[in-house]
Parts: sequence; C-alpha cells; structure tokens
Amino acid sequence: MVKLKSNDDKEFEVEEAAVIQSEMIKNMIEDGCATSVIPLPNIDSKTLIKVIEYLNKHINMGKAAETGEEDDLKEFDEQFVNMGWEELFDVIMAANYLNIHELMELCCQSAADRLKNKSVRAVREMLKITNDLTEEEEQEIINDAPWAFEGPEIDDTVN
Amino acid sequence: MPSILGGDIDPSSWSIIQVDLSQLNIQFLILCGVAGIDLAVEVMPDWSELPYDLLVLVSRCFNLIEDFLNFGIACKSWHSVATKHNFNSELPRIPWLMLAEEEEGNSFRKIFSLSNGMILNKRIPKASRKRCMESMGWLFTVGEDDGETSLLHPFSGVQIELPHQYTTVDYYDH
Repeated sequence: MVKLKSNDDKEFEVEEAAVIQSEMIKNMIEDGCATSVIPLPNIDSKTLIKVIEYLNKHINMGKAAETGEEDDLKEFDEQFVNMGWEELFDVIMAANYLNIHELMELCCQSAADRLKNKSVRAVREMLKITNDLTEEEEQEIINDAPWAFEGPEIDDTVN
Repeated sequence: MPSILGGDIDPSSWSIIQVDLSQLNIQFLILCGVAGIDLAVEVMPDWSELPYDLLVLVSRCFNLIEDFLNFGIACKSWHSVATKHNFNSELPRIPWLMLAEEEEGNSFRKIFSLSNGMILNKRIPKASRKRCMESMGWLFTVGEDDGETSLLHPFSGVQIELPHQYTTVDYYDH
C-alpha cells in the first residue's frame, strides 16, 4: 500500500498496482523515495478522491481486455468525466502533475467534446474566458476562414 | 450617544443583540455541518491559463476544422496552440463534397459539409472551366479546352502543373 497526502492534510491508502499508473509516483517508488507518506501539495482531497477512483478502476488495463470488461471500463470513463468544468480543470491539473497520461487524455477529450459546435461567444461565457485578442487579431483569424465561424448549426447556448 | 437608528438605545441592549447574532451564527454552522451542506462556492478556474502541453492535448481532440478554429479564437493562449501542426490528422474526418460548376466561367464553387449540411461558397478561380477530380484532399484538374492538367489545393490555392496529357504514351490511342 502507498500513502498519499492531499494539500488539505488528508491521507489516502492506495494499492501500489493502482498508484503506479502515475508515472511520477512510479518513479518515486523505483527510486526508493516513497517509504512513508507521499505529500501532494498541488492536489486537494476532493480531487485526489476522484483520481484514486479512476486509478482503482483502471488497475490492470490488460486484464480488462482479456476478460471482456472493456465496455465496462468505457462506461465508467463516460460517467467519470460527467463533472462540472471546475472539477474537470482540477482533475486535468492533478493528472498532469501526477503524470497519468490516460487520465489526461480522457479529460482533455471531454473538454474538447463539450466545446464542439459551440460558438466562440458561448465558449467564452461558459468558461469565463476574457478575450485578450485585439479586435484586429480576431478579425484576422476570422478572415482566414470566415465560413468556420458562421455555420447555421453553431450552438450559441452555454450549457 | 448619537445613534444611526435615530433613537436612544441603551448600550446594554447592543451587547444582547451581538450575543444573539453570534449564537445564531454558531447554530447555523452546526446545522450546515449536520446536514453536510458544502458552503464552498466553486470558482471557475482560469481556462486560458491551462498549461501549453494540456492545451495542445485538447486541441488535438477536434476532428472538425470548424470546431478547431472556433477553439483557437477564444483567447491568445488558446490561439497559440491552434496551429496547423496540432490539427490532428489521425482522427477520422467527415468529408466536404465539392458540387459541380453551376455556370460556366463562374469562379465560385459550392462545397457541401456532410457534417452539418452547410454549403460554403468558395472562390476557386483556378478550377473554373475545368473538370475536377479529388485526390487526397487535392483536386486533379483537367482543362476542358486545352487538356492541361494540374493538382490544385482548393483552400490554399496552391497549384502544381502536371505534364500535358499528350506527353503520356497512349494519349493518341484514345
């Protein structure tokens, strides 16, 4: 068992087989730096619980393929990313810090899927992004491919 | 003692009010604790501050060019990753269909998007009065009159002249 500690001082025990899906922790264990508790100063307990849930489910990916549990895993992934933008951001950052490539890809794909077919106005409003492009820069980008920004089917809602 | 409430208030009543408020406050916190209510309001993190590598990962998840371009116009940092290189060529693509020339000599061609039914009017002067065949995203064009052949990219306008058909061995047999 490996002990992880979140930045709000909560400790979690995780099976080594699960936790080594994190390249960062795998390296720490291999280098003998994981003898006691591993502090994770960038991750709060709420996010860490999510990440551990993912790691436990994804233990032994190969085994899932053998026993035909791939669909099960796919369904889990779909459910897993069903979270708000705020939480998704935290999980992406945690996956990046822990270097769990599959989880990063899953979350980035989910972010992209949510942005698909959205108007830029809707995207900025949903994510509270401040547009720091100047009007000229924006117009230049639009002029390159005006058709891409004025499709009749573009979704302007912010859900 | 001057009072903002406009009347004289006995200072001892003030202290009573204050005590009551603090007790109310404590009771409220205890109630929240019992009911497990999370009072923390999630603040939207700054998505424009997502690290570069992660933005690249997101940008490589779009298989429609429109979505990719819309992603790249949200703000400066997002624009910085929306480069040609990051438009993932390994994802399955939904093709655009180029419709036949409507009137002779008109340099506009209609291009139909199968993904959303949109029709794009694209000016492709170099395709005017030419038969066009598709080859890996390029057009193979044959001049209707002169039989000149070329490869033409409909969006960038890049054109590569090919040897005339009569240079092929069996041209005169047909």
